[in-house]
Amino acid sequence: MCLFLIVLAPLGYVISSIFSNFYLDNLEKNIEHLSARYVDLMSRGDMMSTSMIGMMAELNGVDVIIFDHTGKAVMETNRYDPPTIDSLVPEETKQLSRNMFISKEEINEAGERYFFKVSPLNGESFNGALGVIAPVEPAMDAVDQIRSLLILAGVGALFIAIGITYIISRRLSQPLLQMENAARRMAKGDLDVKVDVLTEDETGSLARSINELGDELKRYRDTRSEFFANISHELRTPITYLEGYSQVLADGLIDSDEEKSKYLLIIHQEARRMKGLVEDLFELSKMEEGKISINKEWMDVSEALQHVLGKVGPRVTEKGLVLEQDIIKEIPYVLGDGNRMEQIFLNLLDNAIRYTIKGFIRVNIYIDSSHVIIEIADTGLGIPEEELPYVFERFYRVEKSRSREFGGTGLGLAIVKKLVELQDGHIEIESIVNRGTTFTVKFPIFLEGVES
Amino acid sequence: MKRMDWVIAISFIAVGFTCLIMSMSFIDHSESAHVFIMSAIRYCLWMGIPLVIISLFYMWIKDRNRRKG
Repeated sequence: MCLFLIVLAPLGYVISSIFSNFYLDNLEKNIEHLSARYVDLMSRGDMMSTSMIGMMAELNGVDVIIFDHTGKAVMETNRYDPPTIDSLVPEETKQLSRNMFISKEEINEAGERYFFKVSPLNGESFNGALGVIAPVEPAMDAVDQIRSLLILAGVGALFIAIGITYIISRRLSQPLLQMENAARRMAKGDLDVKVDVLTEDETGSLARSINELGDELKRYRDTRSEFFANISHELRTPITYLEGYSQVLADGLIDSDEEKSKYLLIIHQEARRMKGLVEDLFELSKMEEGKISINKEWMDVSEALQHVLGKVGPRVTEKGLVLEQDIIKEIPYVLGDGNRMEQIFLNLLDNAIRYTIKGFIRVNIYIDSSHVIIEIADTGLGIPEEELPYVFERFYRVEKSRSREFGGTGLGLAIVKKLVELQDGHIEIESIVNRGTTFTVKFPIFLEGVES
Repeated sequence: MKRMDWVIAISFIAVGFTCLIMSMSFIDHSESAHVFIMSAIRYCLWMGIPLVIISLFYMWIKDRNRRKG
């Protein structure tokens, strides 16, 4: 509203001044014109012309004053209550004698403004002067009337502008208020709240972003709750074992050294499992926070794989499995971290050994046009197809009972996936229940702008 | 917008519209409804022209943004 007033107030003043000046200028020109005609009439020099001028002045709505050569008024009409002018001041008489005109404003006893124009009457020399005096008020009345109408129109325009601005501001602010409300509800924990996306402009885009933020927060909250539930469960189980068996040992409720050794072995295994779980959790949290250091360099994947196969070979043999290898010699280098790469293969092979009871574990490494591809296949228990999308999630187990039967922390594949992605790679899984599982890891040979 | 918002906005516009039409028709020295209505129509035409121009410009901008898309 202030903005409208800032625009309308000076505009109104300018328009009012234009009208006022226009009317005064018109009045002045009109009097000049009349004055010239009366002077012309007077120049004829007969007495008739004086009375005729009086009649004409009455018809034209002005009064006339005739001055002699000394500047003294010798004849004047007095129909429109003009100010009393008995004589001209000597300077004015002098000015008129030099054939100059006098224009000025006079005020009568009632305080009304008059426009006064004096023209010299020249024959062979300065004979006197003729003054025409006209009231300014009628012209100013018209200006006042127009000014009032302009103020009325200005007020009308202001109201219309306020009305339209009110509609526009409400329509613009309503989605923002809705978003503010949604953000407040989200801050209080109500993450199911949605904002209506009404337009395709910036406001609509903001509303869409808020909805996405809500979804993401909800997913994060659900994941976090699930994570805490899982971690509590995973830690509670070994702690229960530790507590129970250590209590048995402490109370001396054992019959033989063999039984004692068995319990101590269980305590040792559960302690190792807990240690592994805590280490995996620490590793995963570092990766998710981006605090893990990956020292990328051009490296030979097959060398890292051979190294890991050397480590796990005895365990494979110990379990009575066959380890098949099909590794081509000329593998292009990829950009990766040697230690992390070994960790990936170790986790995958560890999984394969753990869940394969009989049969073989096959490791292939080959290349296509743009990738080095590593396949680790087993003839283990396999995973149902509907479970496959979730196997890389933290603590996800196809069957909860597998945890106790086969061990593992439930974090291995989540770590593998993170490590593969951190090295610009990609991991896929194929599995058939009771036939086996194949993990395929791909690393690009060519990275953007770099040829290996 | 709630109904109350519309009532407030339309009241402002109606009062402003009346003020403008009154100031337009005052000089005619006629108090007939005909003069008032004719003034209103003339005013609506003058208000409609910028509205049409702004609408066309807005549609052109929107269309151009959609094509850029």
